[in-house]
This record gives sequence, C-alpha cells and structure tokens, in this order.
Amino acid sequence: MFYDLGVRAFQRGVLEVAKRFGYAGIAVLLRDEDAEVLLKDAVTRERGVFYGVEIFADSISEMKDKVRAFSGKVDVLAVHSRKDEKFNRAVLSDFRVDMLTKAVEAELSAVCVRYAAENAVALEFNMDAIFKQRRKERATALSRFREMLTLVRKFKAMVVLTSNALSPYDLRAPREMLALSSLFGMNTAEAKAALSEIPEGILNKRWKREREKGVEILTVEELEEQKEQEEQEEPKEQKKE
Amino acid sequence: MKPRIPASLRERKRYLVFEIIAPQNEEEKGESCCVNCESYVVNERDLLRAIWEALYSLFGDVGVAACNIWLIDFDEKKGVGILRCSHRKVEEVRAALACIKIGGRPLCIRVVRTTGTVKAARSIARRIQPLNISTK
Repeated sequence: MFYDLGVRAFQRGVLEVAKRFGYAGIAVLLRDEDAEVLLKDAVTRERGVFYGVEIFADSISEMKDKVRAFSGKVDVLAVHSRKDEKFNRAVLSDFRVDMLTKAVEAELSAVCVRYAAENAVALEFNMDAIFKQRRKERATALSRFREMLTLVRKFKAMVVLTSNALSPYDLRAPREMLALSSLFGMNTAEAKAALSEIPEGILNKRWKREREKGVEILTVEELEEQKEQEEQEEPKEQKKE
Repeated sequence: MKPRIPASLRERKRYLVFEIIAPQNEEEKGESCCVNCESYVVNERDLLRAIWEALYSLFGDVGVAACNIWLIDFDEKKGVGILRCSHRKVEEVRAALACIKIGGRPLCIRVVRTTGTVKAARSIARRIQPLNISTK
C-alpha cells in the first residue's frame, strides 16, 4: 500500500487521481496559520485522506510552541526546514515531530541525520524538485539527493518520498516515483519503504507511541548481548562475596 | 536505414501503455493552474516532442540512443498511447514520462502496464476509460 504524505493543496480531483494511481491514502499538509480553521471544517473525513500540519517558524522557541500546540491533534506533524543548523538540530531532536519537510534543500549535516534516525523523524525527499525543474536546477537537486542518501544509509534514517502536489496534475504514480528515485541512486527496496512502510508507520504513530510509553525496544542481538553481560556480572559478584 | 540484425541478437522490446491526465475543459482548470493555460487536447506531435525533450534533458544523446524510443499509437481523445522502448531502459523511460511538460500546461502521465507484445498492449489500451476529474 502506497501513501503520499506531501500533498500541499487539497482539491476534489486530488483524491480521485491518487486512487487511480494506486495510492491507499494521501496526507494533506496544511500551513500552521490555516490549520486550526481548516481542521475544524474537515468534519467529514474522506476515507484515504489524512490531515497534517506543516509548521513554519523563524526561531526555535516559536517552533517548540507550535509543536506543543499541534502535537497529538493531527495525523502528521511536519516542520519546514531552514538553512540553519541549530534550528534543524532542534527540530530533529524533538521526537514529537513526524517529518522534516524539504530536507534536501536544508543541506543537513551528518549530525542532523543522526538525530533524525535516533528520534524517528522522517526526512522528506520531494520529487517535484526533479520533475518540475530543468537543467542546472535539476542537476543540483539530483546531486543533493545523492549526497543526502549516503548519510541516510550510514545512519539508517527514515526517508519519505513525496510529490509536493499543489494540484491533481502534480501527483505521480508510485512506480513513477520509484523510477525517479533510481535517478539519484536509491534502490527499489529503499524507495518502496519510503513510499509504503515508513509513511504507514508515521500515520499509525508506530515509533512515537513506543517512545511516549517509555518502552525500550530491543532487537534479538541486543537481548542476547544483555544476557551475556548479566551472566558475566553474576560470577564477579559471587567472587567478591 | 538500420542494419538487419539476426533475430537472436536483436534487442528485446517492451511496450508501455500510458495514459495522460490533463484538464479537458474550462471547469477542470482549477485555481492552482497557471493563468494562461487553456483547456486542450494533447496532440500526438506535441506529445512526441515533449517525450524526446524530457529524455534528452535527463539522459542526453547517449542515454536516449540506448532507450530506442518509438511511439506506436496514441488516441488523442482518450489520452491513451503505446510507447516502445528497450527492455533494459524501461525504468529510465518511466522517469522521463514523469518529467514531461507540454508548454506551461498542467498534466501528468502514468504508465498503466508494461507488456512484451504489441497485441497485449493494444488490448489493454482499448480497455482504459479516461478519468474525468472535477477540481472544484
């Protein structure tokens, strides 16, 4: 099942085209200024349409206030990135944030990507930078995507592929998105995860729910290591006695 | 004229059945379309030029030569067509189709199915119904 978490404007035709293309759902990201009013009006929720907020902030404190205001009230909580290392680090350190939008334009450092991986904040790869632009702008965008991908692979951060659609004609089918992602070196498995598993996990709050409850998730290898460490500590304690 | 290559050495082909979704009338223009866009029917000549232009801008002369593109069929009324390409370059052609622009007009192209024969592609193209969307 495929999801597009980056639809910026909602018109009736968008959902029809998305269903025709094979998407299970789309997430409409509203600007934070318009979100409160529009979320109240969105009483009749159509099946397959999720609502999110994209926060635009000039400072870290403003961003924190807005995150606190919208946290838990929307399906997707996204923050628009800036070319400011401190701001991006603050966003990526906050586990309440689901997604950092236009991550590639922000030119994130390795530290930021590591924070994103640790706090389960997804990085948005907006594919309209490839299909709407031409020549030098497109070449620059492709090289930035390629660089970001190396960091994402190193730190195992989450990536979401979006179309940044402003109209029904800006949407692209999932197979076309996979093909576009292969242009900058993403393999099929990574691209499929970025279109299906990761967006689905964000909408279900899979990673956030576990953090909020205070549960530590261990893999099988980590469990075995812990057991070995406990077994090693037990004989030492017996010797001391 | 291309040299005649034995059948065993010939490159395998794939036929991409695609559909175009574009505004068909004034009501479907919507608010987010550009000011100057008019309702229109995409014609074959414009489409072919746009496909070549998209391929050239993405892959250059060498890449386009490897793709071996040929537009087999295009129904202007339905907006459905069949494009032939090399079996090794299907993903590249898909990416180029996603990047197509015709003038400043809004449209999107989707590859419905990839087949190995023209006959299968034509039967799939015949069954496709155009999508009429209202943007209001």
